[in-house]
Amino acid sequence: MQVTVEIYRQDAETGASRFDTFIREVDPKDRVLDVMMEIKDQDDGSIAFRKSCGHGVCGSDAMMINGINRLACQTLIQDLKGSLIRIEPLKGLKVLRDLIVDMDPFLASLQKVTPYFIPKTTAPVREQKQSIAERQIFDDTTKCIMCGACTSSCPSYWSNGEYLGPATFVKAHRFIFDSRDGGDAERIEALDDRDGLWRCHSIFNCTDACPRDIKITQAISELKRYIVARR
Amino acid sequence: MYRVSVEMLSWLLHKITGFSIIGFLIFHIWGMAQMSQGPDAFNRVIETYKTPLFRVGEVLLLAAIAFHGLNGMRLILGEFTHWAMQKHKLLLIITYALAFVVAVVGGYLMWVAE
Ligand code: FES
Repeated sequence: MQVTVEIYRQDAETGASRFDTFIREVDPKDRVLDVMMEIKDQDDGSIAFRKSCGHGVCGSDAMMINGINRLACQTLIQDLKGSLIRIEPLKGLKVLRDLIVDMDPFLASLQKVTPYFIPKTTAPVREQKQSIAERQIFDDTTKCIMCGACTSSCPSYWSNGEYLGPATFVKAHRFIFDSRDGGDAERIEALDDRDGLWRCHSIFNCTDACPRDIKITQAISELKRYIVARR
Repeated sequence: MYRVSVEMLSWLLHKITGFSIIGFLIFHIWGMAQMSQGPDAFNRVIETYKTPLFRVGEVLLLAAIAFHGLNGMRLILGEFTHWAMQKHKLLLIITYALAFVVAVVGGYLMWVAE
């Protein structure tokens, strides 16, 4: 089938932007990333975008495809319904060049909730057991690959870059609801803030965008309830 | 342009109706102040409120309040219960359906009332 691919281009120095259009013959089962790689190989080598694993694991190639954030390596042409493919960089983050955005603010926000395991005791003398039920509570949020699709789909984040954003809440959820973790206090301090959880208006864009199908809005509401109950 | 889903549309409508209702409140207080100037002023204001423009406005106001209130209830339910989060699609449909019924039935009754 024939598709028209429109790719957002932005000059790194001048910031001037435009859309470049390419017409290609593709297999409906091709992934958007395949088509982009082919265009880069054969038509225009100067197109800049991130990708690494090619299999939905590394989270490098989140971008806005036909109006929704997705991973180019996980999106099939046939999923897009129609023959027009419009590829744009993630919103809410500064574009450095073409489809490459500055992920630093996004990663800095993750840091605020200490996104790593903090043991309850300083030196555990034996293995820390966890039941299947205890693990189930945060199982969903362990799947995050930090691609940024959720945070950059969030209108609250577009209007305020200081807002921690859904990805940060997913990370916080993963550790706060871990029965072995003891780092609640500092995480909650960051979450229970004017740029924290309470700016979430349950818009569900993050849940729709997540390539790992994490129920993000649900996780956020669990955090809200947890924090309110602690007061 | 990011695709506008029903959830995102609801958020936008919630904002728009919210600000409209605040606007109405200010206008309403101003109208009341006008009315309190005496019987003549009272009658004049009531005559203005009977014009088609204001009557359409009243029906729209009812629609805005119905949506804003019901959508607010949906959001609160989602914040407080796990169940509402899981059934959020269903709750959205209920919100729009109820708001529609309230706006149409209430709007009709207001329109035929003299
Ligand atoms: S390239 Fe690694 S997630 Fe798509």
